[in-house]
Amino acid sequence: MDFSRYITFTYDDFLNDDFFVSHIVNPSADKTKFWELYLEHHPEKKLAITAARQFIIAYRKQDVHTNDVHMDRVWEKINHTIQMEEQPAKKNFKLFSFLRIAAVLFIATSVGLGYWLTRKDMEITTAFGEIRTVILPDHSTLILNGNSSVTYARNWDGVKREVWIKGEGFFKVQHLNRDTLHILQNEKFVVHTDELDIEVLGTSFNVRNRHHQSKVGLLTGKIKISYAGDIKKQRPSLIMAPGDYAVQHSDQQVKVNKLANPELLITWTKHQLVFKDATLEEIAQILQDDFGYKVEFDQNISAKLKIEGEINVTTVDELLRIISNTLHIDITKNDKTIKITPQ
Amino acid sequence: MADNLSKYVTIVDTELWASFKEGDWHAYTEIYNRHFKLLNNYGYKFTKDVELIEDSVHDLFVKLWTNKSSLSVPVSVKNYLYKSLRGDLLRKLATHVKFVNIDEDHHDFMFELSFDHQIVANEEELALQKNVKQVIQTLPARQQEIIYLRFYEGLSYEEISEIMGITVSSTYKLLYKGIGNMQDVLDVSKLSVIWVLSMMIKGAL
Repeated sequence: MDFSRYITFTYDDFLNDDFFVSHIVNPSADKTKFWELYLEHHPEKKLAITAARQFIIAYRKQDVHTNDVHMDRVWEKINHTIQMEEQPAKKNFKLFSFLRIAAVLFIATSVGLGYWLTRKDMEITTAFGEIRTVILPDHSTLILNGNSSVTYARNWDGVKREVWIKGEGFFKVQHLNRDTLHILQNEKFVVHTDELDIEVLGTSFNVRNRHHQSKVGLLTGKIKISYAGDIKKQRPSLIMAPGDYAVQHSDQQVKVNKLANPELLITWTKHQLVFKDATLEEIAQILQDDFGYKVEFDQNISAKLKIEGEINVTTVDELLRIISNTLHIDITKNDKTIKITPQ
Repeated sequence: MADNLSKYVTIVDTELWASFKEGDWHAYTEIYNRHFKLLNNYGYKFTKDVELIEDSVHDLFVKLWTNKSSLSVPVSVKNYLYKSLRGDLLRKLATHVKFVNIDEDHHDFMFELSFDHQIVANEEELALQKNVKQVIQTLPARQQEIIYLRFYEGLSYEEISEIMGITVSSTYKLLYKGIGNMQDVLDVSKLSVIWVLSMMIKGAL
């Protein structure tokens, strides 16, 4: 090792030297070794080196302000500002102090289709596997699942609150109305899927709709669903009660069942993958729709194979490992393709 | 999802920055996650107004996203963020000062460390800590900041001058002054006594 550079060094020369400072600030085995050897060769420098080192160490023992308690809050604000940018901020803040979150709404709609209105000047789209929180103009929040999009008007002052959703979303809706007998036009909150209109009446609910199929699960409170477009006049609208799960497929009528565990519908918002007594087909559908994987079944594997019990994992890899171990089948994941073959 | 996000954790800052420039929201999120605490800690040296620091961090990240396509890829993402935060924070603080005292002509900023919550092992260390604290506090804000960037963040003179917007030679001069001031008070010979003592104790064990 070459120590010639450091032969004439004094206390402040060491403090001015990047390599000396870095062996304390960003230590590594190599750097430590170098300075140990240097001291062996130049014991006369012990005093200067020790003093410089002690100063840096003493100086670095200082208080730290990381502010991690507000990390999420500041992030939410940043998200909100980015979305609201360019939109004039003319809000009645007095009114907002009275508002409470009254409705939690979970929506999913078919991919594709969707119609255009001039008022929809805001569009947010998520990539496969991406989950993003959207703050709507009335401060209602929407958690968008992967491969989904939402459109709405930037400014909701004095107009009906309307959003159009494709894919899957979970809404927490600000409830403006305090007199349920007289609902004003601009107090309404309506979520449009391709097939249905969902009107929030002060409640929390949950909808999934992909491939021209809408599924609406109500968690708490009350919602009204009606058919979108021309069929609206021919078919009556439907009021849902908590735990109700409404399924509508293309042109058919809505069928309503009671759910034992409606909260399972929104586990994805917490980045959880939860399945209960699910078939391979059902799991493959989620991997395809929400994460963008192509799932290929070997001809000797039935897609109807069922995994008894509950799976609750956070990553696709974990999910695949459990399926493979439970059903004794081989699963290989290559980039965006998943192949299921016999062992 | 977790599966999807985890791949971002291992990416180096500048690659992350390149993805973020392309509009990758995950990359942008990861940049925020990596630097939020560091930025707050740095900002806290200039002001104890926590909300003002949060405002600066907020403004900085909104601006990044809005201007992402026109940004260049910095040599060090952290240094770039430090420089931006510093500029914004000092501007905000200057307008505050003006508002309070309109006659005050100079907008000199403060730079303050705290050692109050540090646990020290023994009396020698306590004495040293006390000395360091005393000396540091007598230095002008700029010198203190250079010392911080140098010995806490481990930055080079070039990097410090870039963040603070001063020339490399004045950075060097200011730090040299700072170290010189400290040397007078710290008394290098006293430090060596501590060192000799500690070696003797080690040898005896």
